[in-house]
Amino acid sequence: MSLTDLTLMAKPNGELYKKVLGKLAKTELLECFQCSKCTGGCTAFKLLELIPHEIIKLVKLGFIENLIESGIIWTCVSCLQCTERCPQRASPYHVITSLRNIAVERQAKVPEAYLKAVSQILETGLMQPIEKVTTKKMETVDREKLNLPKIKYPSEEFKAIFLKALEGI
Amino acid sequence: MKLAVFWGCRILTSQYAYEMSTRQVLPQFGVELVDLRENHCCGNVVESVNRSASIYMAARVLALANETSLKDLLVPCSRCHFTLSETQRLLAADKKLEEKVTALLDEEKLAYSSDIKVWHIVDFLHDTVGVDKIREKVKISLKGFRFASHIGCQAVRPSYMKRVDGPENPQKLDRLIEALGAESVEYNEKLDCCGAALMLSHPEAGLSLTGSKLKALQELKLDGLVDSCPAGHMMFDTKQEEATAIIGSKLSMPVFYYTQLLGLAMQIETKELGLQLNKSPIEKISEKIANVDG
Amino acid sequence: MNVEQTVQLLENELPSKRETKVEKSVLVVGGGITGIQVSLDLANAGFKVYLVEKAPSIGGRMAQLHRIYPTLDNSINLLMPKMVEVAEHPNINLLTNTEILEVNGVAGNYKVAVIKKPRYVDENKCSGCGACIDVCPIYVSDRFNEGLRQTRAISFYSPYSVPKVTTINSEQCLRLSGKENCDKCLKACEANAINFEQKQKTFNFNVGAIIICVGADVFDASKMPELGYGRFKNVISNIEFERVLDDYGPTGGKILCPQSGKTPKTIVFISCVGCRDKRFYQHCCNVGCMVNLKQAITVREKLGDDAEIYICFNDMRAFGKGYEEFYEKARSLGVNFLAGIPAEVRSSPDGTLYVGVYEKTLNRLLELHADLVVLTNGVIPREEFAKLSELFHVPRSTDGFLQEAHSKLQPFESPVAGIFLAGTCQGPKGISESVAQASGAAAKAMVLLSKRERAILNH
Repeated sequence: MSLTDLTLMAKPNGELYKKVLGKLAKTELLECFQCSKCTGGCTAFKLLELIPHEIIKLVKLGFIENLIESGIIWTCVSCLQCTERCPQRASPYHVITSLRNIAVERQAKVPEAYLKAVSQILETGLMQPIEKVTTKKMETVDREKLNLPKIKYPSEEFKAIFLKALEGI
Repeated sequence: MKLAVFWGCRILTSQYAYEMSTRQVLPQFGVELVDLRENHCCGNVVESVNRSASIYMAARVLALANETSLKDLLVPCSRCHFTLSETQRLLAADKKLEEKVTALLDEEKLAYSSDIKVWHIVDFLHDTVGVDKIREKVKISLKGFRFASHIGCQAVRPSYMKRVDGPENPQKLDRLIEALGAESVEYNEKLDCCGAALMLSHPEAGLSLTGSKLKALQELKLDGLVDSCPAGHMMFDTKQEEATAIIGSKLSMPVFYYTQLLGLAMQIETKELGLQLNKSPIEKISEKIANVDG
Repeated sequence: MNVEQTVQLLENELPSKRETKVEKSVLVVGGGITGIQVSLDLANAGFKVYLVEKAPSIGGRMAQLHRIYPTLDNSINLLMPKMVEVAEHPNINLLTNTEILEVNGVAGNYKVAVIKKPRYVDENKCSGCGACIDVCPIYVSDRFNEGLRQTRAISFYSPYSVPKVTTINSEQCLRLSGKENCDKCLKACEANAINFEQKQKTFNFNVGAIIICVGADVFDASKMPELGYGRFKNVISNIEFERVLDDYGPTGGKILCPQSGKTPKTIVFISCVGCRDKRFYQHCCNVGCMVNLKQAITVREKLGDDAEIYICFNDMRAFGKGYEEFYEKARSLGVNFLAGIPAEVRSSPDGTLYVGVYEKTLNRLLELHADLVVLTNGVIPREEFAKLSELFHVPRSTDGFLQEAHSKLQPFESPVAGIFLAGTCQGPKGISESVAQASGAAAKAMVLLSKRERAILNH
């Protein structure tokens, strides 16, 4: 059993709530009326217990610190089913992405693979390195062997500007 | 006709068969693919880290497309297609954002254009080329073969912006399969996600989603699953064995890129279509097709 | 001349008042319960009423209902005496199969032109025996029964038609559509009432006031494909279910699964379909919650304790007199209430439906295996409101319904003098509210009609 003192522990219009709002293209994306339709069809619910409508409610009530520290916001599969079906045109997907951005800004728990992807882009422009690909007959192949054109890696300028964009547009 | 093409990351670094088969089949319909001057990520994964930076990346892709002077950009990956389409929409709706992004592109003398039409393989083949033209080019009819289609979540949602197909009952990929003479079955799990996005944080859960969908498909006595996204193909084909281990059920489903199946029906050599790279048990099917009396 | 002198001169020159005689008659558009109530109130007060109804019979939506909430009275038992009273009232000129063509004039003196479409059956001769129906070779979808049944090209509009005269569907009739020279109904009619040469007729009349009661529409759930309506046979709409529950309906009042024909064990209601949904209609349909309760209670009565009944709801809106008690009655009868709206409905080959709903009070995802799913399709504006808006110059609100002059103080007057609104065309509501509005609109109209003349220009 838990008791939450709303006046002391959560500030519905606090700084973090404003931050989340600022990251959303439309405030409508938060205007959920808690029908739970999103959760009923959420791909990540059964395996990872992601409850999209609860996330939005927590954001609206200001319990954002916990969300940012929690791993739950990294369970969204980006299937966009919630965005598609919400009768209030809210979007747990977009809200969750905004929370992820804040988690990165605050250097909270961020799955390594995402940060690796960013550093890979800074290195080669692509989010993953060239993988070792083998045929069924265990023969290793690469683009050259398959007569595919060479990858045209982007300029250093792009990487510099991308870094700038990461720091804030 | 000329089409600019944006491959994304996965196709260039591991999912070679999609590029191979696409480069083989499209010229048969009079399409000349024009690569962009540079290859980089569309920003799909970066959205979780910094949405503005990902918008900048997608806008840069569209600016590179604009450089080719071509108005049509082919995007074979469902996820890239979503990111580019959403970026177009966001920039159109927010002038301030567009200014900021344009300023960044300006530094490299790149120009963003809002009137690039972003195509996916499925809607390009279905809407522009047309199933009749495809039927004409079929040399080996796949009559008697049963497939199921998987178009990819991000290709069909959210429907408040124009997507490749409808969100609840997408049919274009099925019509394309039927154009080859085969049957494309309806199934309850058709809209279920492959789980690729979870590979970055919860790989077991991602593979579990893949395995569940494959398991459901196995009940349907199919000759194979046909997909049109490198993320989906990576899960269903490349990682089918891993998915089998995770869900603890025997999985054995041949998985093809649509462009590979189309190539087979047009009697293009299997090696040119990258079929040697498919990890799922496709040999039986591709041999059966090759032995069909054309 | 200075300004004051000029103004005085003009005031003396221009007519300060123009007057029109106020006609002691009313046009009532729409013959559902609202139009019927308005007509009776005005006719009983001594005014002449022209009741124009588009369909071949009056009765509207209420005639389609099995029972009404919260009293569970049989709907037709309440409605039929009023329908008969309308048909027999000396002050009411009932024009069915008729539409409004043109409206001109001002309050107190509206000039109305209406067009009565041909039924190809003489209303004065037809005895209502129905012999023509049985011999007709063409089957058409039965609109009154929401397509759950077929009727013939010549038929009564419903089992409760007033007037009790058949109508021929000219597009489906072999003879009228020019396909064949069929005359089976002509031969079967002993009253000689069939007349293939019947033409449409225009009527012109003057009225003092107009009351619009054209009703509203029901959302078509095939626009929401995730719920399977149109794809899965066992997913039906609330209005279709109402016809199923009616003892004179297409299944004789038996509740059966459309796919197998068997009696369902588990029935799931899904609320708020099409309404409270920004993708379609943002408004709340007002009646959905109560209709669900009514239908759930009826299912319990017809199928007994074995049936498992679930209502998936977003909110439970039971705001009227006796409504909260009705909610309690449903709970006491073992109707299960699930707080949550399902994302989608899936089907297995044998027609069993899978409904996943996240129940907010249990914090669990519940998967239901339903034999029958009933969708609470919302009450929505009619497409014709655009045309009506133009005809009568009555604006529409942002929600698409016809706009009242003031939502609190003038709920049944339109912004146009002399034109009143009543019933669901002004906004979704139940029968109690519609009847209240009907009598209110009639009273307001009587205020206007009670004058001998009316000034139409004032300085």
